[in-house]
Amino acid sequence: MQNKLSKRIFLLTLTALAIFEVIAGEYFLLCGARMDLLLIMVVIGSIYFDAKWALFFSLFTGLLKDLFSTDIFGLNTLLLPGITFLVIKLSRKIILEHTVIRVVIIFAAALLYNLLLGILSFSRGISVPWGIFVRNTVLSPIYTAAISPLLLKAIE
Amino acid sequence: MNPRLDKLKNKNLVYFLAVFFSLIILAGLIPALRVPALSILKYPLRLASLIKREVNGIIFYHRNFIRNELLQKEIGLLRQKLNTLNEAELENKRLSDLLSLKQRAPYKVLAAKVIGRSADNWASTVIIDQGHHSGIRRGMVVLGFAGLAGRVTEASSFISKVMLINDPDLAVSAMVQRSRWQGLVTGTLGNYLVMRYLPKDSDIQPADSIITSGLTETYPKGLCIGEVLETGEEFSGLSRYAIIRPAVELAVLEEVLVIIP
Repeated sequence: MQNKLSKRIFLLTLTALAIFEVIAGEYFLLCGARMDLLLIMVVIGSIYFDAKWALFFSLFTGLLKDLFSTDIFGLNTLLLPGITFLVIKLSRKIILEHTVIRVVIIFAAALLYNLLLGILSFSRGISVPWGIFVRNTVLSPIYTAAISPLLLKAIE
Repeated sequence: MNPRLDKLKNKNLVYFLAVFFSLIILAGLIPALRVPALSILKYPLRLASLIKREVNGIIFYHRNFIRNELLQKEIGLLRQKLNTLNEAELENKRLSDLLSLKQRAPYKVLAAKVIGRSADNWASTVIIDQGHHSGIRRGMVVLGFAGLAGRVTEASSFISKVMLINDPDLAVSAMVQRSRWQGLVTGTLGNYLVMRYLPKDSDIQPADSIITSGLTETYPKGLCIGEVLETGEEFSGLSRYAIIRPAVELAVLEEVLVIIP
């Protein structure tokens, strides 16, 4: 699988998806929640590539996300490699061949990612209504996980 | 104890610590790298935005046609209102001259197109196609055609990032146009804004217009922020809040005006 999935194509896909999310992401909202295509690609990279390349791709994705964000520190550059590290550790304990398991892992990764960002926002004194918080931490991961089989199918 | 195993464990620890600190340093360099990288991405973003606009024009032809008709009617009504306001302005000028009041010079604006939006759930920002090259600097106020839209947070040579008023990280000192009660407007990441720290006995009602108070030098006084939808009492019971519908349609923002001081 690793031979088939060219690293160069994966890198270009990450860049194209980053631009796509910035340009057209607002057309694909579900009750205001966004899907996180880049996070799906990070998890896919963790499953299909070896640890070194998976971490490189997650770092690259984090840089791309931070480019378009307004956070002071490179949050995504730190968070996404952390998520990749966890997925790699998990892949050594359980088999990740089945699509359902992969979708669950993507959901868990998206949940953890959004929860951490939400908590960090709160810690900086930024408060959002509870409805928005639930939308971002629950609905957005569900939406991301629901979309992921399409990307997994495309990769396969 | 196996000395080889101990040596291996120490080696792994050193390797892990080196990677961890490298990541921290790299993440710290992100703010410096962001600005030049955005300049590089200007042309792909502009091209993609152009393609998107053309596709939109085809897909949403009927919607645009109807909207155009409604806007034409609105233009007519606004022209009449503008005439009335011009008269009021002239009268105000005459009276101010009489009272020898100092008039603030009108501000210069620069039009810019929105070419992208943040892909973040926890922030509300847009990317515009003007930057340092056109005189835009960090901290400049950004307007939509109907009122306040946000503020420039980063500016590269040809691209800038604007934090919208519905971002919870942005707070604007505001007041009720009718009763002049002051408060602080912040975003909620949703379609509405919240005006807080209104005194319990403040005179604020639904349909009241909210404008910038001018208390801070950043936002000129009198910029329209939105309209009050409902009011309520804070959980503490010590102050009131108001839910505000922004004057600018932030979800469909396509063009903005940047105030150049």
